[in-house]
Amino acid sequence: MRRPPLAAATLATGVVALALAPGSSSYDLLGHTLGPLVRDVRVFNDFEDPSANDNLLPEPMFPGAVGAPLAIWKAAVEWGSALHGDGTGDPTQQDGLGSGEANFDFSWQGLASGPGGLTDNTHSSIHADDVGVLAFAEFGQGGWRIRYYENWTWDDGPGAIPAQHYDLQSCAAHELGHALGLGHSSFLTTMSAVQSGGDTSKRSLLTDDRLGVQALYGVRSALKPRVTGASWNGVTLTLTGTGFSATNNEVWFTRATPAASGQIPKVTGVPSSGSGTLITVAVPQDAGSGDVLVRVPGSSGASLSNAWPLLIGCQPIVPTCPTTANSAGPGAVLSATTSQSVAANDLVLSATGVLPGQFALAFYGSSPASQPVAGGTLCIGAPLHRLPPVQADGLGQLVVPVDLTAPPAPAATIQPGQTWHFQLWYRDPAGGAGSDFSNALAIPFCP
Amino acid sequence: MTPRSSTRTLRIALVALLALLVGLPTVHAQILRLTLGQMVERTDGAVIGTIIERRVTHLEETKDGPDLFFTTLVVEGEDLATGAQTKVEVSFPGGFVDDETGVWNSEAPSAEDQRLGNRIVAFWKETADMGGGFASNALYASHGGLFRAFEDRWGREVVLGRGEGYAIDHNRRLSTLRTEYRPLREEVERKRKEAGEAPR
Ligand SMILES: [Zn+2]
Repeated sequence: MRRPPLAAATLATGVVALALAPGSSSYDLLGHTLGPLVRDVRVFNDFEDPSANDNLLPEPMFPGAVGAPLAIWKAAVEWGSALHGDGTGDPTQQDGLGSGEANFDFSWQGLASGPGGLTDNTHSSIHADDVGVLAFAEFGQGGWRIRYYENWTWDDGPGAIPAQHYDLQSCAAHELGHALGLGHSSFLTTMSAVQSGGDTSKRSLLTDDRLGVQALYGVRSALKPRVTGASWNGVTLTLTGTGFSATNNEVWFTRATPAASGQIPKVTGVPSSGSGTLITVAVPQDAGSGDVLVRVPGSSGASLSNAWPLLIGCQPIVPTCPTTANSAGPGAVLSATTSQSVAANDLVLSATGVLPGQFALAFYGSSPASQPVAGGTLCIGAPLHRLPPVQADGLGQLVVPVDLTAPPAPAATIQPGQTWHFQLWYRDPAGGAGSDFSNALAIPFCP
Repeated sequence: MTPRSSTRTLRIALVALLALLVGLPTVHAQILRLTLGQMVERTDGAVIGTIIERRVTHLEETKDGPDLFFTTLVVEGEDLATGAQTKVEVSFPGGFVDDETGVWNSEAPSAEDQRLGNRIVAFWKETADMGGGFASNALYASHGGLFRAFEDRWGREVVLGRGEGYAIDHNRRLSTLRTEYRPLREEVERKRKEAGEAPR
């Protein structure tokens, strides 16, 4: 917890620069930079507002994350040196995520198990009475901690948010700018800013922010390694890119399970082939879905590559369509238990709220739909593949084991990498239409 | 003009210039955008005075995690509304108990702004829990609740604005600020009294 050198914000310096060169830049440097190995970002997801964790839409470039962690991960990669994967994930940023173009990239480390200490590089909320501040970044000796006051209503987006809510992603981008060494800008940028309610504009770096991170860590070097692709076959990860070292690369992963602080899962001593364009490496046990980075021998920010998304395992199951009320109550609710592994063949569908003793049919298809049929909504597009009929018990519950090795038709064969939509149709004699539908689930399948 | 007053005038001019430039074109912190009226509604009082003491509290283990630091400034001067002599403690997150132990906080007043001997206007709010159960008068909006004051060449006290979005956005004479502040404070106190709140 040593005071960082020149810890006091040198606001005046930045302003004098503005006066000397009007219209150029007004970023402010706090006097600290993060060491070359301090790049980890993790989230203790203790945000209490439902709106802080109600974005359940998975993003392909942010595998394994939803809600507040997803919003904060997006904020972190916006500071990155190059587009994060294909740059998608934020509907408000047409220029893509990954705008820093400096020798600086964060390493997403997923969830934390607590708010952590001053140098554990975590985001979390803090309970306090209203003190007129939305959030703050703390900087200790070689690391940081970011806290969000729980007395405001936080929102994880992903699009526009209500005027009474505060945008977690904007605020995270601002505070991460402090963590990496930037003070407040006098321009209307990520690093300026009162964050008004409903404002999402601070998510996206502007020129002044980019010049700031480049002043701290250098403009992205031509020698900086660059990852342009990552694929995992269940055992081995293949990375494509440029600028990998012939020997002694480090491959950085995202930790699979929550940690209080800690180590970035790394594989060291990794060679490359193809003149520094190809790396194959076994994925370590403690690695999970997240980002992968490559570090070549060296001691600067230019030694570490951009962050590239890596899916290990499956995207989460997503509810795609709500249930409809039936004659007995609010409607049938379909859920699934599964590892989502085709090889494991362990998918079991179950439902509650069905009419007691009535017959039901689970079915699936490859595309979503929304069409009023009978007493409810058909949520899956044709062709539909029916599973064997089952009967609900006296409590209106039922279970449907699904044998992936015995599909109802050749076209219904479930393969790794595919997403299939599942729903339940059931009889409701007392309902006006005679039958009804449950909610629907989109289930991604993996090897 | 004595050399001393000349230096002082130059310093006032420079700080005023900086404050003016800082104000372009927007505001500077992850704090609430506030008008003076909103600041008064959300706070319990304001003081114009001199920082006579600064201390830092370190809470090692709290309900909100380890190692919370709070800086407390003791400001001796006058109540901004009534002019009555007063001594007020105002606190904000961040600070160092010694050279080794402490934390820099992104939204705290700058080291320059919290120096002993500074003349400041501080807006405070009695706060039972500023985090970790720490009770104090919060310096409301952290650095956004602290405004430097200087004497101009005619000996009149001037309060420096911080730019658009801050409760005091542009430079004002202290007397003008008092004139603006007093009716706002009286109105808030009248409403609180009508609502049956205890006087503060
Ligand atoms: Zn800030």
